[in-house]
Amino acid sequence: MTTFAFDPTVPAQLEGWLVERLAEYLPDLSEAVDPHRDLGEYGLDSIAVVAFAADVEERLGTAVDPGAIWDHPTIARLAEHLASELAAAAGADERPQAA
Amino acid sequence: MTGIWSRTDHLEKLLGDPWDAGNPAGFAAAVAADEREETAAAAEAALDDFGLHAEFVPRALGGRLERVDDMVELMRSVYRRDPALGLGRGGQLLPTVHVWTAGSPEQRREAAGLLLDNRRITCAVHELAHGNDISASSFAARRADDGALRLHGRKESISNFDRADALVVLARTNESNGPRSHSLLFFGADLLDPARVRVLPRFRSVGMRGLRLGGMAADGLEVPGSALLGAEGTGVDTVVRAFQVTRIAFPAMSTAVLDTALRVTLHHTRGRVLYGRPAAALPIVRTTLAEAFADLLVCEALCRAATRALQVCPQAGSVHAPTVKYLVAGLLTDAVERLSTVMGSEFYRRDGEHAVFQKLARDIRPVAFAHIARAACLSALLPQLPGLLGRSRRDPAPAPDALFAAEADLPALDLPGLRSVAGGRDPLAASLPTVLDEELPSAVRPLAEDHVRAFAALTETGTALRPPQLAIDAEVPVRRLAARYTVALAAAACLGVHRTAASGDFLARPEWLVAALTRLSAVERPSGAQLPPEIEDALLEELGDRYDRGLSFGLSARPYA
Repeated sequence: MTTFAFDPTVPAQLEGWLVERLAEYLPDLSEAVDPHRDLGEYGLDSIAVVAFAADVEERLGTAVDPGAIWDHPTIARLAEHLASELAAAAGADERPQAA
Repeated sequence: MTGIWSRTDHLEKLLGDPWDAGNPAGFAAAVAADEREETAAAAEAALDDFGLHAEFVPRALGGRLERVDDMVELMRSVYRRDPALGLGRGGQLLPTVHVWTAGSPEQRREAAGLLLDNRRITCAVHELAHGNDISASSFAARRADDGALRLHGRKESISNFDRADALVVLARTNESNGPRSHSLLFFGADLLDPARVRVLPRFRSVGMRGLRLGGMAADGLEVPGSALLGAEGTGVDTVVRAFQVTRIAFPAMSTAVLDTALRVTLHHTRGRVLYGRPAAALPIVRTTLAEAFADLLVCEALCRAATRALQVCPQAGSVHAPTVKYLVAGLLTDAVERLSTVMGSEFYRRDGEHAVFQKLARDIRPVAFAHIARAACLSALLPQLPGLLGRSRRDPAPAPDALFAAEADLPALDLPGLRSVAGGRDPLAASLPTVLDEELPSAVRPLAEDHVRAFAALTETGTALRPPQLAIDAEVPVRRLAARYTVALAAAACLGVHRTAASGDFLARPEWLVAALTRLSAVERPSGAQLPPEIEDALLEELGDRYDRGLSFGLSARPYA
């Protein structure tokens, strides 16, 4: 798993990273990605969503379904969702295993 | 009837010797039925006696489906006699994988009950207007005030639509675009009110003519809200995950078509004397036979790894499904085509003892476009390519033996656990950078090095791709990178099968692996190397021996009736 220069379990920090990732998928976009704008409005097609999900999952090391992107359809909401998943996973690692 | 080998033996016995002209489930009967655009009635009856549909029902629901690899191996006994019979029956998987993946306990019991009673379910996902772009499907289910759903639109090219007892249908439940706009429905064919649904005329086809392709045009057909399979809006997500199983299973079953094509070609060329010697002794015939045998082993090695991976590392299904569908379909259709050239005029005859060949040559074609087209497979693979390659370079690891070994225990099949992306995790790709660490026969090593070098070059290029290059309008050279990835996975699978083969087994010998890796090099480089003469000799000796002993030509070398 990649080591990050930020804490991916903090939504605000993850949000900034996701904005940069998404910008890679939108080469024709002239302004910055708005974390509160609906992703559908950026014209991402289903293949781009799969690529984005696979890319983010591979980099973050937590499951990211293309469907989850649709269920949390802004970068801000996606960041919140993924940060809580990552925090839960980190918490589970630290807790002693139940017998 | 529990173990797979007792089941395959039993089914072979029920269906009998396919060469026997008097066998009502043999080649002659299959060809005669094909002329009538049907399947042989006696063969259908034998499959009902066997209770074949139980092979598609999970054990927990009373069926015999525990392992996808076993189900595939059993179905090869059907495919090798008549691919249309195989697809017609195996086609029960298309609707039911969705029920097993997303259905409620009640829906799962209902589907299982139908199949265990030898009845049929059909799958209406496809619409001719939208091809492989299923998220554009326009067949609509609109919610009425009373909670019922009213269906409007056309579904086409549906196998056995007219004899189905129930249907699984993909319908648009939201007018907006995106992956949450469709839902799956499961309902009985008794709801098909003739006043509200028109049965479309049968679609006629070049091959697989025994398969009845139908369709429907619905205008306000009402089904209850309880027909929803999974939550509303999850249809495309379920289809994308569940079809991983079938996109691997159908090409994997189809290797048996090449087995029969090879067997018929051997039968013909051994018996025919040309220029004073058996045709089978002519160099061009020898080379074609040896290459086709090697291709068959390559296909089955990749299929074994991919079917096992569905249970060993299910997250890789989204990668292995398009890989198998692309590469295996391509190798099989090419091999049958090349065999037809050495069949001479016999490949063209609709009568005589080799008439089944022309049927196979037509029946093999849909493997390359039906269910999903090979081109669409590359489009599906491409978005994941940079992540897969990047991770294989960062975290190389030998692949689990359970993907390759003849006997291996597998974790339980967990269809709801299939994922629509792999997050870079593909055990076959990750194994390639490690294969040279193993002990390899001296004849194999340079070929393995060649594949590892090619994969390293692919990784270099592929990890540098930018997201916009991965879209549906990707340039041809970029799409070729995805094709090269499929070749790399097949090479890894062949190396794995060789590594885990029991000593003394043909698969533990270097010759077939030399042939397999050489053939795989030729996929991307059509002017690739020929098989060395001693390799060709070894393959033809094995092929002839299996032919004489009535054994399958695939990995299992199991007895055929």
